[in-house]
Amino acid sequence: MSQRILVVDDEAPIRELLSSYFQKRGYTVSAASNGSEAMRCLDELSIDVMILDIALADADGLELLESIKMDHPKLPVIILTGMGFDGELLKEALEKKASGYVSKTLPLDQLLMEVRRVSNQAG
Amino acid sequence: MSPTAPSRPSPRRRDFFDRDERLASLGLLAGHLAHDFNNLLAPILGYSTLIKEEFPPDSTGQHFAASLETSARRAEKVLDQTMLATRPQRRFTPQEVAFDRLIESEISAWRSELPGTCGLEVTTELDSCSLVADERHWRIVIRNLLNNSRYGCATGGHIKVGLHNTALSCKEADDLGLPASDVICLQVSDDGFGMTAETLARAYEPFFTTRAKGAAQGLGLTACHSITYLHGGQIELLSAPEEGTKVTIWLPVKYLASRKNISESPSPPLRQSTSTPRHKRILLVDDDPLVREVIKS
Repeated sequence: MSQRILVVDDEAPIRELLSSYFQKRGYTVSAASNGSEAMRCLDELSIDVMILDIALADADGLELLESIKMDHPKLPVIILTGMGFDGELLKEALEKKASGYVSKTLPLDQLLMEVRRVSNQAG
Repeated sequence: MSPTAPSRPSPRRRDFFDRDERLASLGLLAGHLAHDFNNLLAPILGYSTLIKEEFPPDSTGQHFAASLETSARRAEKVLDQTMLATRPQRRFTPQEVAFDRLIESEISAWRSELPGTCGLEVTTELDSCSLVADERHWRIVIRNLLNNSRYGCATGGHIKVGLHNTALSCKEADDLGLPASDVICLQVSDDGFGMTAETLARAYEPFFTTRAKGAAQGLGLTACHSITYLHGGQIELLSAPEEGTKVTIWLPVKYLASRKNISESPSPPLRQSTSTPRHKRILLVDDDPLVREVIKS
């Protein structure tokens, strides 16, 4: 059975892009545009890896990460950021138990490698 | 005035404060824009990858997708440079560095870019002192200052670089907004064509440049200011038309000195961004609605 990725981003083009990219590579992809949709997906579906935008319109991605980790401590979460590399943000994300941290403009094959890495670690 | 009443800040101190506040607002604005533009660039870059997968090698489709990707990567680089100039704390890796050797090595690497019509004099009289600083940041600062001086001396001139320790008077340290009187002073001056008062007033602004389009981005002095500020220092730019330009950077030794070189460890050395205090009300006064909106958010 294919792994299921949950993409959480308030930007529709980014959700669609990541869905297309990972589906082509054999993953099953679910997408959520905000924090409450993301929580609902986590409750209803079996998610293997979560890709979470750090700056959602309705929620702070890091705060959301904190509450997700309370209910799903083993779920690997990769933080996706539109701010490029930010040492302070990276530190905070790792403190809140993010498994990875990727810039949105990084080549997609590197995001794929990160997904493989964190799911191998979790598996 | 009673003897215990706090003294009013000097006009020079107020000027520094106003400049720092203004540049902080512009930095926030740049950060906000960079985030939005990265969100726009990400699908362009990502779909270029997917388009390339749909076309055979060396096809027109491949070529078009590669062109899209190249342009988007160039835009990303501009955003990255903007972010570095306005928010250097994002990539801040302080470590122990021999400051004089760092400055000298950067000047030495740069010297070959100097035209024959321009002279360069370097005087370093720094007491041996390792500082805790970001080496990459200071290479950027010295290179930008030298490039500006070289531009100012385009028709010939002389550039002087000085690096020395100074003990400021308490009043001067206060005027400069520095937490300590013992400072390292880095000066880069030239006798080139200088700046008008109007240019001087805008010199630190991101993307402000008097050079030809494409010759400079106008981020050099913005970066110099942000990096100096991040390291707890102060920067001052003096210039007059046909007289040249002098940039002075003061760095508080006590706050940047390596812990093994000082007997007492000072309180937090660097001005880093702090999280916004919760449950406090802030009155924001700015005539620019965009700046108000960004700071508010």
